[in-house]
Amino acid sequence: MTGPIYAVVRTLLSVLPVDHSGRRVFDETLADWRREAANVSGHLARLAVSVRAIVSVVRGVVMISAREAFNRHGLASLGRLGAWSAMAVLLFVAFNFNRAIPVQGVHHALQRAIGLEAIVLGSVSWVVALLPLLAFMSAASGRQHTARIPRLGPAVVAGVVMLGAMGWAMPAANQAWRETMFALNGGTGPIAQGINERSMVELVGLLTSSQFSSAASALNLRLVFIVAVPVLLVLGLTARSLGGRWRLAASVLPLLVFAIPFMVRIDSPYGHASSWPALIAAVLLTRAIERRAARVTA
Amino acid sequence: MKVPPTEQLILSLLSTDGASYGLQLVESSRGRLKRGGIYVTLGKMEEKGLVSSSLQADGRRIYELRGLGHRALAAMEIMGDVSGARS
Repeated sequence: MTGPIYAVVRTLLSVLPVDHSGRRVFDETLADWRREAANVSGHLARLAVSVRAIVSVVRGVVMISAREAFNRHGLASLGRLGAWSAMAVLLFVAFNFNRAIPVQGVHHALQRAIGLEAIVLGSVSWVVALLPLLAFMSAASGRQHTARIPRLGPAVVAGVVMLGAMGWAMPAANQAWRETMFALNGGTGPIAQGINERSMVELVGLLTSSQFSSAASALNLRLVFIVAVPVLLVLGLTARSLGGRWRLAASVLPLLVFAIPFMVRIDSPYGHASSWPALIAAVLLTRAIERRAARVTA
Repeated sequence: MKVPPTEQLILSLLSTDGASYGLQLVESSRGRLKRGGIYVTLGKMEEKGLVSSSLQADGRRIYELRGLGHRALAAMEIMGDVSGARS
């Protein structure tokens, strides 16, 4: 008897975007789990089997991800995402016209250049906010992929990088930018962190404080971005594997659905409420288009 | 063809124990092979033609050496690598 934990893990594995060999690894690990669970009795023994099996599943996912991320196709997907992100930073720096801020002089206001470092620091949150779109565009553009290309490995790497970016790098860059601006205005010393300048660990700590509401909103928003980048990378790779009108549909419709909370305003209550459903709807829509395309092509 | 140490160990175990399930290989390796991860390695070995597998009714696969696996094992024995893989 396997129980509800098995059912949850099996469902989670079924949605992971792996190829035939990766699916086989999951099938065999689940088969071992079923067999071991059938040979034990008692809650503790069954729990031990489940824990061992979950460790096996995690190890399998990590090994498949590593294999996929660091082969030729996986590195190409990640390289394209890196190149598109670097291009976005360069464009932001090149076309950012806020290169000076007004500061109070002795008799009248003066314009003071903010410097390249401050411009780059200010670009971090903009580029991070654009990363879901960049991930999709970098994966979906280019010639159609005829072979099945790995999707789980690049997605896992992108998710880990996003966790670091949204969890720590972006808040630190925001705070450094604010302190630079403060110093340019003649201020000295550190300034208090706002909610967007706090790391994810600090936000989790704030959930038990009076700032629960703002901390929960900020955490939700960051989690949406952390998950959206690998998901949209996978959706982009899926779109690129299709041809003709199916590719057009898979390139436009999921993006439109995912954009709804941003059009509403992502930091509003409606934006927060619709962000996860919009992401799930984009995934379901892509899967429906992919299946329909496969049926018609067959 | 380069055969990594983990694959050498699996070849050696399949040679001594005969056709085995993945979990049996993990148990007989005395902790050197890990659950979950072994199926990634066995998949790679099957792609290389070192082992073959057949799907059983319960969803598990049973693995056995193929011709290339036997030859790789024989080459390892000549080079003296098998004892290192087994110990």
